[in-house]
Amino acid sequence: MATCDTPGVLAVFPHGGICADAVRAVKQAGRTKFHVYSPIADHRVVAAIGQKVSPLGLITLAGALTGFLSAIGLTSYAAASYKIVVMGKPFLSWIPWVVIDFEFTILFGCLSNFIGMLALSGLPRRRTTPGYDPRFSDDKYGIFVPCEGVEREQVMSLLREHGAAEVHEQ
Amino acid sequence: MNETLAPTAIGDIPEEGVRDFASVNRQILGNIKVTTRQWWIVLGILIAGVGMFLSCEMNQFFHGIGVDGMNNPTFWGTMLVNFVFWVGIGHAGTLISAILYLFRAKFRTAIARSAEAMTVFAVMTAGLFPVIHLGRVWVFYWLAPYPNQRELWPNFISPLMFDFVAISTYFTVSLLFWFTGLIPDLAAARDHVPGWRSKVYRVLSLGWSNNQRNWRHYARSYLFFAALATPLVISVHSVVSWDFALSIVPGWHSTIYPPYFVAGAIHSGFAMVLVLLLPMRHFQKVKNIITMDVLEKMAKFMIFTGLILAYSYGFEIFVGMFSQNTFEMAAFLKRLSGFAAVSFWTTALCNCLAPVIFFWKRARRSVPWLFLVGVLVNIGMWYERYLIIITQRQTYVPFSWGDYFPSANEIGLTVGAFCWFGMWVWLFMRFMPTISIVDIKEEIPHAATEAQHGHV
Repeated sequence: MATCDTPGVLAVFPHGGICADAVRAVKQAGRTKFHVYSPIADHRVVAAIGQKVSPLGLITLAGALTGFLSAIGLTSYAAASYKIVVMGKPFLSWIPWVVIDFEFTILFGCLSNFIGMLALSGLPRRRTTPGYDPRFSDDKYGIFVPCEGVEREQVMSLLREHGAAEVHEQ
Repeated sequence: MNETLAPTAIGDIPEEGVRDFASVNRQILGNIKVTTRQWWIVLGILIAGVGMFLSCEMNQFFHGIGVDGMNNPTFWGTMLVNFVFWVGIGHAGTLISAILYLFRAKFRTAIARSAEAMTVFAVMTAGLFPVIHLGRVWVFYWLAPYPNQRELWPNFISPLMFDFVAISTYFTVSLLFWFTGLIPDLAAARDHVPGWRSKVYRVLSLGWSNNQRNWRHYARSYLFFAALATPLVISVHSVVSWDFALSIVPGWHSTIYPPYFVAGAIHSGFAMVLVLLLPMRHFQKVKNIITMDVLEKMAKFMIFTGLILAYSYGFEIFVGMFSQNTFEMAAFLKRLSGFAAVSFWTTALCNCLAPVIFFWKRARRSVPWLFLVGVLVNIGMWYERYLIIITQRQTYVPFSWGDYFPSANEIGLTVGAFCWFGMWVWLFMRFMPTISIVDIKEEIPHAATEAQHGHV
């Protein structure tokens, strides 16, 4: 069941409402480092953790702008390197290049979005994060609190008090 | 408090509806199971079709493009018909997964995954044809802009380059979007499917752990993918239409082409989704997820796109006649009563008249009618591309008044392409979660899951 050697306490919850209550309790107990597992992106758990909005938007925007500028650079450079001058018209054809600029903007934006999502999520990784249980991809919620020694009993009792259906030492 | 939370076994598929998270896993992952003899037979037939495709391509490779029926004045032939048809088929998936996601259309949940997969496979099929059509397939890479000793660069004002960039972007974005949505479901498959396949899903799921760090960035990523893919869906077939509209050929040189092509693409994509989903829904026993209400909404959508097409067909004829341009008028008169009339009326009847049956509620909720109209619209949309590409070839001078019929080689490539597409769909339906597990779970009210555990 355990997929990592990190010592700690794993609590399993039958649904998100109880899990969110337990997350608040763990935070009130002064703990900042813990993993919360859920089968979906449950907004109650997200609210209880109080995470800030992901900075992925900035990464995506940076990628999209890079794509846009790359397209302008590529089309201009290609036209300047191999000039096709027709009836003295300017060889920099900005209007038809809007199509290329648009496609590069979307392509680079999506690539940076995907790579950024993986990097921020710590993926890919060979093993799942500490305390992961296969039931978390099914219907159960969980909290894994890394701790050792005498802290374990305190954490276990705290999680039991707040509705954990199972509590395991790892 | 001390309730035992046993792991869910992948067992028989429940007859009742989706009630809780565990039953979603059981039902959807239950379809990823050991392959049957019948499954292998169908796969063998599809692979044989792909073999036929390859042998036709090798024939063309060794003997030149003359083995096809294309000759003066028809230089595009069924190659471009198939290209435009398959790109169109690829539109429904991203439309369903991106645009309908942003509009919060809940009926998309049950069908988005399969439609996205279909998009990826259809674009893979479409991309084959321009390359084959080059004749000298081994110099395909000349399309890519790269520094070379000849100091040659592609001409970026050419619609061919628009196409190359647009289709490459669309394929990459569709693939990434599809894969991003699949990651949590592949993790579920890793955890619950036994045997060697669990190891494959372990690699594909990239170590996804269902933790809040994963979900936090995943949800944001999915939203941005939808936002970026939305204009992309509209742009791709617009760009394809400029292959025609930027020319000066009568009947092609028209500003109506981009919206007309996009509506046609969505129409054909939805029809293909229906044709694939209806058997899948039956054989995978997911009628409680892909409900009649979902199918009915798809039918309503097809009435909408069918009417846009009817308007477009009528309007382009009107504009052609209104122009008082002899060549434009001749081009459209050929469609109405000339040698192109068979193609035109087949197109009009299949694409515009057949979906009208969906105004009748019983037809919208009838599987045979839905399937029949889906097949008819696919035939109609293939004929529409044929009509546009083949029958518009007769232009200004008698020199171009030749005839065309696809050769056996082209027919082999066309049929083989359907087998190629079918092969990927067939493999997908057996080895991947065909319905988004996470999306379906998110549709289940919290109260339902809490009631399961006696907390309400």
